[in-house]
Amino acid sequence: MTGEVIALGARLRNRREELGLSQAQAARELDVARTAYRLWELEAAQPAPDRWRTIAKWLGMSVTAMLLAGELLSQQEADDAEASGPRVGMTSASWDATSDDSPGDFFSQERAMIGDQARLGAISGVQAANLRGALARIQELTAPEHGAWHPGEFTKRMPSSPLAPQIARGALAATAVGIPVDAYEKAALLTSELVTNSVVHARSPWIDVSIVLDPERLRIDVSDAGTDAIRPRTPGDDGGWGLTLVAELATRWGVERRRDGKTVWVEFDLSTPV
Amino acid sequence: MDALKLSLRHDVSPPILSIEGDIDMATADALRAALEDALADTPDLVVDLQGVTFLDASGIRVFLGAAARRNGTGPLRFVHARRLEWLLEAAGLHGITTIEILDEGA
Repeated sequence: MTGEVIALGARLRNRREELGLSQAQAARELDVARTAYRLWELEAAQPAPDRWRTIAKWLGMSVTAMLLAGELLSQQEADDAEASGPRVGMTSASWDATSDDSPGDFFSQERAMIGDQARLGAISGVQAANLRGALARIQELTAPEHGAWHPGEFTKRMPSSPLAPQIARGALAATAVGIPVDAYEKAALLTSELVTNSVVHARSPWIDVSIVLDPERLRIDVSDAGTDAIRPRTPGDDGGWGLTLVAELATRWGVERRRDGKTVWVEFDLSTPV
Repeated sequence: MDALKLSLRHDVSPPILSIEGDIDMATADALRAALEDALADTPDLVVDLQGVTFLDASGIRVFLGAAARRNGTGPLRFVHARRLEWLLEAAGLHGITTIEILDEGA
């Protein structure tokens, strides 16, 4: 790589002085501990990759430019990229395969810039591959706001039988691939409870299970032809558990009654784990 | 559905009853029968839930029922029971005295 190398520490200090901020204020803006920020300015420590995007934005430059200018990529990473020469093509292919995520604008711009720089001869092929690898790590570490699951729906009528809870859980497993484990475990449990309640109490020949997965929310509707009462009871070894668990574990839940039956639904807000 | 698998090991102390598979309304009756048989012969057994791939209230009812019928032989003990603990807590029953959850690996 050619061009002026300006260490990140100096860049941070210049920007901070430009904005007229103290180190403490800058640290607050970047959402890091003051000590960490001070060490960055002193070049005694480097920010972890999951911070790069925030820092680059604060500096008013792209991540790629910041990495190139500050030589933030370590010698080890450069060596790794060199050693994996034949894999470079594969790396960019698998990268492209994952580039259809919606927050990809930032990343596709960065990738385009890397490509341009490489074509112009400003950076070597190894450096380009290296930067692509770094970008992939950033994308991983800064996880897209809407998580890694794909929205989808499932609706199925099944016979009311002791096997129905397992069938419904299987449908949930297929529909909710990729959601946070915590939400998945709650959803699997409550799906099982609602379908079990229907089998035991509703005396309906069928059960409809509908699962809707949005970017921010998972909803499960369990409907049947029953008109039985729905109310949580104190759990004991004779039962009364299902709705207690529903009330405790679902983000929201409710009952809709119709002349010809009812629907009990649960919703879970999905947030990307930090 | 695959049937639950239960196996009782007598060559360790205390004896360990391992359960494998999904515990829900489809398997709860079989579990109840097998658990009560095992407890009748081996009252000091510890139930190992490591192989349990799913557990809902149908299973908790079986465990609570078996524990309640022990009549003064102490609480029914479990290992690898993270999921059981979570369910009891969600239902507000984590202080229940008829069930004891031992530390992992105990």
